[in-house]
Amino acid sequence: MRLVPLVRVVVCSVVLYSLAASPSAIAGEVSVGQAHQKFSEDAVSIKAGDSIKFVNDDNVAHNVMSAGPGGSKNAGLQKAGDSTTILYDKAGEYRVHCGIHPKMKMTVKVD
Amino acid sequence: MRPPRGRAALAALAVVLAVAAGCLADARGWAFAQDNAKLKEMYRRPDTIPFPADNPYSDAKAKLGEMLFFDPRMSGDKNISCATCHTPSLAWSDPLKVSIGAGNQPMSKRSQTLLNLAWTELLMWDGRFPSLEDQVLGPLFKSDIMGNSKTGMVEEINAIPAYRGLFEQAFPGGAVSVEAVAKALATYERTIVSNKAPFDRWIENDENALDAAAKRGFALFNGKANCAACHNTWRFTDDGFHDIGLADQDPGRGKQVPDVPVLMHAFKTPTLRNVAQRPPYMHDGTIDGLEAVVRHYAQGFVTRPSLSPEMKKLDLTARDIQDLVAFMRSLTSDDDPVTIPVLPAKEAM
Repeated sequence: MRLVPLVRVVVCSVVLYSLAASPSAIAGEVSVGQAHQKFSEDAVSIKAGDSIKFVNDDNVAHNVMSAGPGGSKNAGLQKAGDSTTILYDKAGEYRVHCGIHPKMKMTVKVD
Repeated sequence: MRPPRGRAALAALAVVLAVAAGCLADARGWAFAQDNAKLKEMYRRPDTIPFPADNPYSDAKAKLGEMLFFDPRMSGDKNISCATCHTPSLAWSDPLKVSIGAGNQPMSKRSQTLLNLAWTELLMWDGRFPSLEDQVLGPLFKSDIMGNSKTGMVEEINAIPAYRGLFEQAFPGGAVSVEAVAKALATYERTIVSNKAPFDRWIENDENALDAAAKRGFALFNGKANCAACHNTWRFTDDGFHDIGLADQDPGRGKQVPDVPVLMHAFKTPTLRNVAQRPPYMHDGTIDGLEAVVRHYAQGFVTRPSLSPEMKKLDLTARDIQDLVAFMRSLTSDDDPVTIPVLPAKEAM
């Protein structure tokens, strides 16, 4: 059955691609965009010790703020094109919003 | 007679370049039309008004809220209603630089329009209230606005028999309460929505709805004038907070969120719907007309650390300014007349 190894390769590729495409499954760091004054994800699940890289791919400035069990974190002013990373080292649910545009909201679940 | 070989080659090259240029122009025209269509889609009005799950719409609540809104007995001295500073005849604002509150004293800021609040979050110029239900109570009990107390307001309403019946209809089984007042007022205010303006008809592909100046103004608004960085969506606001360089010392949003430096002197982006109907402009009412507003954004702002990164000196011509104003005037809707309710009388003791 020569097809089996090929099927395995295809299945592994699909699984790897799915893992890469899912923001909740990457260990270590997840990237979240901010185009059109919206976060690219409504919710993200990560593990304690992981980080989120907030990429300002918008054409206006943003200021990510995160509040939850680990306290409040202010990522500071992010001009268009800037990135900033927030470490989530305590489990729980965090509310994230933009200080300048408070309608930009998302949640981060840390296991 | 055959043309020389070199001349023929040049002629052929010219034809090829002309065709290529034509194709490129067509492609650019198509791309512009696509971009413009996407841009216009971002400004399309919604079809329905959103109401929160914990305060859904009912006719009874909206009717009660309307009566409370226009009733001056809601204020401590029984002489100021919500409509005093939010007059329907003036696009739900007032004509003053800053409004006049209890004791005939000037307030610190300009009255904002109530148009289209159903879609907003964080109310007041500094965003201190998270919802309309929270916000409507703020002025009622603030000493320099309506100056009432919670007890005084509930007692006054309870002394009016017809109101007791209206509360029973709106909140079956519930008594007159501060929470019920908030829900009724918020429900009514969510129904205050501007009708379609010429701009909306243009968005719906009526090319004759806007004149050439307004169309040029729309392009500037979304282009080199950079207005759409903050005045975006169909309500022309990002519901955000920005220091636009007005030369006053009011901390604005910075008082609520002191750990974000760009929020010092920052105020909520006001909607531009019906903006031509409600001068003066800015949170402090210091700019009288729309042309002067555009000149402020172009060159007139003060530079300081908290200044919004979206504020950049603009090189606008006199025609650019007129076009931007023509565009803003196209946001004025032909709204239905508002009927002021007849209010029930107090019970004689």
